[in-house]
Amino acid sequence: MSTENGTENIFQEEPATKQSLRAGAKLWLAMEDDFFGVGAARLLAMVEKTGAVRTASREMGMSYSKAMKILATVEHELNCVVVSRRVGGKSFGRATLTPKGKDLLKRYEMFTEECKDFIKQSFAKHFDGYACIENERVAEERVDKD
Amino acid sequence: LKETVKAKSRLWASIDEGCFGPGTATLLEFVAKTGSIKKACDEMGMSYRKAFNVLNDLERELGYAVLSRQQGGKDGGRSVLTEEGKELLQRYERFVAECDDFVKKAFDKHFKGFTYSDEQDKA
Repeated sequence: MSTENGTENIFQEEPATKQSLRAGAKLWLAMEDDFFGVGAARLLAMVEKTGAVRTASREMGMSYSKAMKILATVEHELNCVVVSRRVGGKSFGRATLTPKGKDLLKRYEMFTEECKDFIKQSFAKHFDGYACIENERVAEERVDKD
Repeated sequence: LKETVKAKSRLWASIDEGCFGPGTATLLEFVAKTGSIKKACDEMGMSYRKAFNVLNDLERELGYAVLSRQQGGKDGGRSVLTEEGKELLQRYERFVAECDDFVKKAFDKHFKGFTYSDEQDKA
């Protein structure tokens, strides 16, 4: 799975714990092709905040062409416009989310938030005690080597 | 029938720099089934070198062996999962099964009535 469509780890902003094992997950949407993940969601949110695709991509440290490619993929798969870009006039270059773009972003955010909580709990349940024991074991071995 | 939007997920356990994910789990399942890394690779269409690296990295990160390997023989030696390897695989599979189930339900809930294309609006 490439990260072309912004399907990064949903836990990547969580600080690493002292436990050696921690949960990792990617959640994304697909039709014929993968088209919407964490990266695309962040881009839409940033476009809404900044009012311009160029500013949004700069804020995210992403190239403008990559941002446009992400948007094109979403719009192609869904066959609808998610970001309306005004051409010319006073509002030249201004971009806003269409109602469909807003709806998609909100649904995805709520969906991932709920899954994130569940995945964390499920991971803790299924790997409970395991990581700590192994940590100690690894720690002992390292001490032995010293 | 037109394609509809669906959710996909990939879950893994991060171990310091490495990770235990679907690829590693499948490899261990095949080794358990076939009793050899070489046969597992053949069935999976994975190179032996790649499998060897995956397993070595995993064991180094974990600090213990997931496979007990007996070298030599005409098939390149037999390999079986250690108790720790079995346990890790089982924990991962249970975790994934539970989460996959939840992700499906959460998707259905949050994307209920989601319309996207302009064609759908006209319909």
